[in-house]
Amino acid sequence: MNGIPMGFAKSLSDRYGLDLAETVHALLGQCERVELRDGEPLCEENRPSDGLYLLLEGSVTVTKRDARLVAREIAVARAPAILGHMGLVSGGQRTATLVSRGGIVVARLDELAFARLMKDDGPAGDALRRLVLAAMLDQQRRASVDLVRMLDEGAHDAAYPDNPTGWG
Amino acid sequence: MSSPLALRMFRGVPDAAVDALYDAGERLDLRPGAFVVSQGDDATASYVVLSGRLKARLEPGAQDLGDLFPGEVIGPEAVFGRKGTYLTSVVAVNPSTVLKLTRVDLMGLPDSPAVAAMQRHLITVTARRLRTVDHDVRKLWMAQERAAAAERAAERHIPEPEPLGLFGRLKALLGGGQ
Repeated sequence: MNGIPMGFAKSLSDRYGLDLAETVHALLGQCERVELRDGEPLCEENRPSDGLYLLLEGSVTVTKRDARLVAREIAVARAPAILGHMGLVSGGQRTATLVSRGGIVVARLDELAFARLMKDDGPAGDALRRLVLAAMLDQQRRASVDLVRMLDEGAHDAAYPDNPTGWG
Repeated sequence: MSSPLALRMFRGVPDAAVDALYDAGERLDLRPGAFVVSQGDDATASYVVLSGRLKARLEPGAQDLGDLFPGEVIGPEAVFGRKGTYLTSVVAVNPSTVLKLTRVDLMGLPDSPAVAAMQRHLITVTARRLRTVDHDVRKLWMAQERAAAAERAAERHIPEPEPLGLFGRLKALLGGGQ
């Protein structure tokens, strides 16, 4: 995938507290560019995970189904963000549905490339693992803060952590 | 056992790479009662537990979040995440040894198979914890729905939410009882 400005790689790297703009930029070279119009799904919950997405432009709505299979809107993820990695690292199924809001551009890294890079000890693998891990730790931090708040409030009031970076 | 060579996360990694990681960090021997990190302090280093047993605590009240054993990583966000503060305190229960690692330490180990192995280990562990949270949220949703339905059925009777084991979930999330 060509033509991605270094500025995007830097903003994605910065978002997760990393200093990996050049390596992330190189990583984007292994991705496929995908554009979706408003309302089109990027991925659907419980479907097989077939790739990771780097949200370059726009935003997506994140929904999850509850026990009665009713879709609940969880959050809105805005560029730059990593999406879709949870399904890849946790067993192969999407954990949320992501739908384009007003049109999006994403860089898609397919599952084979993802698996290869996860095993790669070189700079590209390091960049991918750092991005994924930073996003997951960020989500864990928010979730833990939220759970602490729920404990403080007697655990009677539930709110899903406001961080979409690990979903899908 | 105070060498990272024996840790499962480094299985299959060349000894030289693990040794280099060990040499890059700082080994700390802890007496019982010694704090590794304190909740709320700036997270500047991560710590790999090499030996002994430690305990994670949540303030206020020094609530016990569970024990930490060799192979667990304390404060991984300090090295691999966004800068922030430690979410819990961790104190040695038994004589323990940890390997202190900073971002600067790891910058000196480019393309290290040991660092890559540590990243993969943390991704797996964090994914497991996030799945636990996800499961918990779904249970909370169900509890909310049941409560709302009961409220609609009998406005004067508002049932107590069922126990959801949130404290146990929090323990799992924050590092206790892997």
